[in-house]
Amino acid sequence: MLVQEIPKGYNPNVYFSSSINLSKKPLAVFEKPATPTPLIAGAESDAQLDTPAELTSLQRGKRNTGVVNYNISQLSQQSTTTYVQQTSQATLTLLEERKSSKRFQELDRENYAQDKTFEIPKNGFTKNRTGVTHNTKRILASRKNLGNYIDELDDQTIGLVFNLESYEDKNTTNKNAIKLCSICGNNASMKCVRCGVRFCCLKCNNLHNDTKCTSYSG
Amino acid sequence: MPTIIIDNGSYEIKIGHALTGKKGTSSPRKILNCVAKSKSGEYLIDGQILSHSEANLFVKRPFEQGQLTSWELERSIWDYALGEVCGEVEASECDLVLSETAYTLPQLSINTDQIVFEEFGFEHYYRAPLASYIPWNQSMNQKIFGNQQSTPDEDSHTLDVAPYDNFQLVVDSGFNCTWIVPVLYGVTYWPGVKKFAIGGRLLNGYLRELISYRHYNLMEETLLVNHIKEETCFVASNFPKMVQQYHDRGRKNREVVQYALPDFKTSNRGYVVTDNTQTEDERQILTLRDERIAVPEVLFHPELANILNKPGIIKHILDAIHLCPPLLQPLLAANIILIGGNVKMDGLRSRLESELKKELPQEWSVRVAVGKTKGVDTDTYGWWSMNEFVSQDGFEQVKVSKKEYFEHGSNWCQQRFGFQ
Repeated sequence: MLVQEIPKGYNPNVYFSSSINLSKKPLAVFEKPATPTPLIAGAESDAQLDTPAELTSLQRGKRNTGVVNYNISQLSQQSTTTYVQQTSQATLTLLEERKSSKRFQELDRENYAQDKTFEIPKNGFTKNRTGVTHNTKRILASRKNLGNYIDELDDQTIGLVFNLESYEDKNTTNKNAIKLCSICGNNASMKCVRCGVRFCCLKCNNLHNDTKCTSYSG
Repeated sequence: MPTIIIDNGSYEIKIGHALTGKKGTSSPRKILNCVAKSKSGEYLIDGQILSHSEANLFVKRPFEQGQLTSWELERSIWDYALGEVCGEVEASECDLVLSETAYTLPQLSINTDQIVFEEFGFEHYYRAPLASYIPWNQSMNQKIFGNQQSTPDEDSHTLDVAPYDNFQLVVDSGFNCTWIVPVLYGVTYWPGVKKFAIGGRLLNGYLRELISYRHYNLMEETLLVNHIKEETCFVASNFPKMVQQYHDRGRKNREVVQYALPDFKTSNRGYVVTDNTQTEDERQILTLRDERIAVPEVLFHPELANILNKPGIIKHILDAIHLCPPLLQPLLAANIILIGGNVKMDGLRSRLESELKKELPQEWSVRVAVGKTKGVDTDTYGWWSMNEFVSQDGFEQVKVSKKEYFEHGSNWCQQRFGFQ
């Protein structure tokens, strides 16, 4: 669980408590709660509470349960990410999902064949740079790829950075989908019974069976 | 002190000196943001890549999924670019304004700051996502919205109000992906930012596959396919109907294009055959029909390329609008600006506008404008906005100096510029 200080500039009397289940309720704001709850966070404002009895019980509760402070900007960001997650309903089977992302990577690759011998030119093109300070030496020699950097991230940043895409709603899927022949690109109304790929005419069907059909044995 | 502006795109770096006052006198240099390796083991950069008379280049970019990860490569390219633009002037005597991807990983941003100050030693520095510079460019924003002939609705309430300088929905469609960034009062509204994973690179991949299956094998020719896409592709206004037209036999179709593939002797990029060009007989001719519209259509319907788990660009724009405060949503819908190299395709603006009008409430006026005026194209629009940012003294107020950086450290820098 993340323990975070409330940054300067926020109203110290407005608190969020970890007892709220974020996945069920979007947001809940307490402004100096009238009824004392055992999980009010924040050490600075303890003195503002009314009775010393409440104060001690609060402090005890705080020590035992490890109360967490969230700050407001984080919470609002989390609420947007939960909004996204709620809309992401599984409209596809796992297999389709995996196929699609594999296909995406295949198309999104710039070089068709990997060149293992690609060495970053050490001398550069105009100047030889190996770094002036300790930091830059480290950066220029690091050879880390994106995966390494992602491994170093905490869950919250991952939730922010990798939750930016929209997902298809259940109701709208396939409603407006365009169906094209996989051979010639014309509008196609028929599907291959074996593999489900579309074709538009007999000629394309034959071509499809000869070349592209993955489960054709005739 | 000269100010250098770098729009660090994942396809091209747009770099140039800040110009004050005079506009359109010179435009930023565009330098390919990659290093290529030829089959014979030579390493090539920018101009060498374009003029290289050999096929099968292996291209390596410092960006991975839009994130600037490899400074080993980027430093070489920056060294070259700065040498081209600055000439004799050392980087340590200049200021730098830099653009970055929205939602860059914090560690990578810190790396950038460290390289900028400690390696290149710029004197003053500011970085932000490209979209957040767009509001500075008021004059051009007004011009592109003014040029556009939007149908004046008598019932619409929103069009009567003066231009909404304070709200923009920036759709930055680049090589790597498409960012949809709401900018409210000149500040990026982070919760509303959306990323649409399809950009120019995926369109290249799809075109590469279509051509290789139907015509010639171009699977290795990334750069050539990219050029073919730029020259020939456009967005259809009514896709199913147009596909039908392409496949009607007996009908003479004007939209068919013939592209002469390069022979790597006289030219190495190829060209579109028109009536005026004399074609030599030995040239291989590529005839493109429905590929021309099928490729850009992937932006709207990713399922064409068998990508079933992503909805199209329209859904992303709608989601970005709906994540913003409800009162501002109509204003954002009326101020959509398209920038980025991918937007150069003809017909994208009108198609987006008509599709959005179908989805958004009827009483909202939807205005989409392409960031393109005289002398400024969509890919350099961001650079000119950054230029306005400098010339209108925005830079003076927010810049970080080298002294401050060494006093407070790189984490402080990230706190000032970062997204959190």
